[in-house]
Amino acid sequence: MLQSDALKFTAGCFNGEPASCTYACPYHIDIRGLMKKAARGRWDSCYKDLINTVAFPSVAYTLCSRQCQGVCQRKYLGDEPVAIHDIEDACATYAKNTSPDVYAGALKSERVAVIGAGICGLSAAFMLSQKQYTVDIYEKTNEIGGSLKSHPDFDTFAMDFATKFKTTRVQFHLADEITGLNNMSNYDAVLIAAGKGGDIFGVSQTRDYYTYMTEVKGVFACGEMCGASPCQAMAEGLDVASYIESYLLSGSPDFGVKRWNKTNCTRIVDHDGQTRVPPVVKTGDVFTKDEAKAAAARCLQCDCTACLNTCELLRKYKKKPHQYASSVYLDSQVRPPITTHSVTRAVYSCNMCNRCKDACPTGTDLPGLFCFSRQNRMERGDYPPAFHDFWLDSQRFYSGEAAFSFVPGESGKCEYAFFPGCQLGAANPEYVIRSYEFLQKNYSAGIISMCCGAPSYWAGDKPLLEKNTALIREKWEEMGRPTLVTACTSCTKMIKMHLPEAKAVSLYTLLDEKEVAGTLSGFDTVSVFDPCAVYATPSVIKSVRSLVRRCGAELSDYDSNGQCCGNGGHIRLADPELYGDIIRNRAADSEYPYIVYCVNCREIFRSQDKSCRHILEAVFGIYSGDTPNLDEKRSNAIMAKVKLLDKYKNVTFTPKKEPWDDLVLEIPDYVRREMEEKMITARSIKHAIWKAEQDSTGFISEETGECLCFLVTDALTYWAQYKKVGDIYEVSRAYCHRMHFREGE
Amino acid sequence: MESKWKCRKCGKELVVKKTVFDYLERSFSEDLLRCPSCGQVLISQELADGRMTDVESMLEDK
Repeated sequence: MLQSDALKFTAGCFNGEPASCTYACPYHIDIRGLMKKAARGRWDSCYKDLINTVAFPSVAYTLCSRQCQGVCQRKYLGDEPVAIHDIEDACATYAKNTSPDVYAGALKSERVAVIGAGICGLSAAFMLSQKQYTVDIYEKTNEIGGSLKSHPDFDTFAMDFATKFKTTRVQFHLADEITGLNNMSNYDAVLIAAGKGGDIFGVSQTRDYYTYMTEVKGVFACGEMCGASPCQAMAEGLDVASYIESYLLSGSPDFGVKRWNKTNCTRIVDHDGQTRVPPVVKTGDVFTKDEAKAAAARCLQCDCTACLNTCELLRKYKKKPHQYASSVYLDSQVRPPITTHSVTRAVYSCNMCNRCKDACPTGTDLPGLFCFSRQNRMERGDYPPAFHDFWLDSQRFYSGEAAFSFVPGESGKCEYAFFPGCQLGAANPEYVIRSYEFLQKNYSAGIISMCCGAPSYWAGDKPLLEKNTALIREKWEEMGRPTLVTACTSCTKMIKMHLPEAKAVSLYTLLDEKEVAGTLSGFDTVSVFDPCAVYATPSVIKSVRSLVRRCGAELSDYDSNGQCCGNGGHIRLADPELYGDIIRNRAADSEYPYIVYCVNCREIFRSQDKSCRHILEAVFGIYSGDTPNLDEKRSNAIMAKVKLLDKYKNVTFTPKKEPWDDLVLEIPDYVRREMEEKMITARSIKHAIWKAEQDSTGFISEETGECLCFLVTDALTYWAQYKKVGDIYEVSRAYCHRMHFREGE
Repeated sequence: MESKWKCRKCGKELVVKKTVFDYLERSFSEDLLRCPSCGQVLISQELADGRMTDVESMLEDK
């Protein structure tokens, strides 16, 4: 993986960029950060930040013309701007310590000469001295301050200069006029900041636009001498210190220095949920502490958090998009024994619902990034297999033994092919049988029943996905490229992504077109929970609502808004805690019963005891009752296959039988619940018991007559504690673990 | 560490013995109940659901 492969997914993200006010500020103060601290009354810390950015706070906020307040995004709420200027004044007033940090380290060997002790030269000199460079200031008069000396607040400025330079090691050479650069050869860099009308010593004023370096290497020129106002001169002095430092370190003046190439942020972020807050009235010359705190608290902290606002995963893991991209790249470069992976859990906790991507103003694609990472990890064999093994095994089953396809009659061709997906029949064979009957009656329709490949897509198993897609394509082409009628929106999504040449239509659209009416007796008002995969597919969303109305129910104004029920991305085994939070949140989102058109949504809401019905239950009058357990799902899928092949092709299908299938288990409810939670099938337990009985392996308790056995598979080791009573195996415990132990060592 | 279990194959009482585990390219050892003869390892549900789950989770986050 190249770094750019990961970073491209978040290239458009502007989270963390400076806010409008910082761009507008001539000194680029981090006003957002300052307001955050001021709102908490951290005056010393605020003041320290101001010193580190502007050197002389009193000068900075007196000279500036409050451009920051002009761009404050409060105006988009019809509000007054945050009183940034007055808050800075309050910070200076209430800070107990106004001295700069003192660094005890040795001075660096590089020496810098600053010509001119006006505001530009003083600012640059202070900043460079804080970086431990030896700085000499040459001033032709016997006073510092340059043009500011005539400013009415000069006394305050002079105090500020004195406080700040008191602890530095800057050498002032007053009344020492420099007449040429010849004597400057013992300096590594020279800044000419000689003030308005000052001498530039024959060096051309043609400077680099950003770095202020003249045609003479190491000689910089800026400030009022070059036409700047006092405010600009101060800003240039602060800036040039960074360029001089860069030059001293690398030989290049702009190596790694941020260029402020615009004066305003062009992005306007939504301030959803924010309301107008009246400005704080100043009762004296300076804000009181409480006034300043309240005024600072009005700051909207402008930053784009659109994705974070939409997603439980992003809120839980607290990383920003760029951090995810960097971590995905870094994780791909290291092997676990060498260092620590940082985003494994987050990568496998994404529902892939794309809601964050839709909410992002620049389309930052975190689901794409996580999917890419899952694929990359799978290719490298660097992933926890237990996260997705269950579903990959299911895909092999539903696209293998449980798969079937046919076209009634002899032609072998059809205009439509029902693609029910694997879980519809697994939830209830009647869903598939009745839907196919409807299609048969109204259209020239065949059926292709197999998994769409979503489990392999979500696991990042590209070869398995490609194999699955090839199987679907083969059947589809055999049938004369019919329109695929999907009942699951994830299937529609997978077909669009991986078999784009196939046309797909939703079963619910066809049911609505034929004005099929059913009943939702017992439900007055319902909420339709749209599965995440259908987001931005208005025709399907509309059809389902139309069907619900025809079934006699009122619709609430609830909009699931593309949120996933929790099943997407198969995160359940990777992050059970987050999965639990998501399903609880979704179930509680609407007070009304849910009508769903994805069987996975139905299963999840039923697991939360949320009143919920699948639209096909209403349309066809099917009563589904409880959610089938993991083993019943497979039997249901086989049953749909057996019934449909028998009815439409007169073919008898006999399911494959494993030697352990005939074992009869008695599993108490509490054990069954634990098994469902950990996704342990009775089939695996039967296999473990059968193997132990065959080989007389495992353990035995002479006291109770119970046996304990295990079965090692690629991803898991299953354990079963049981007692054989007649022909029945009474299971008292069933559990598993992901680690492998070495036998015989 | 006492146990009601005996090795079903060898009929021997289990003893505490070093056992090596592998997970996600890392290996470590732990003293567990095993058959002194064939070396068969016993993992109790308490161990699997408790400490093993914690360690698995830790290694998955690595």
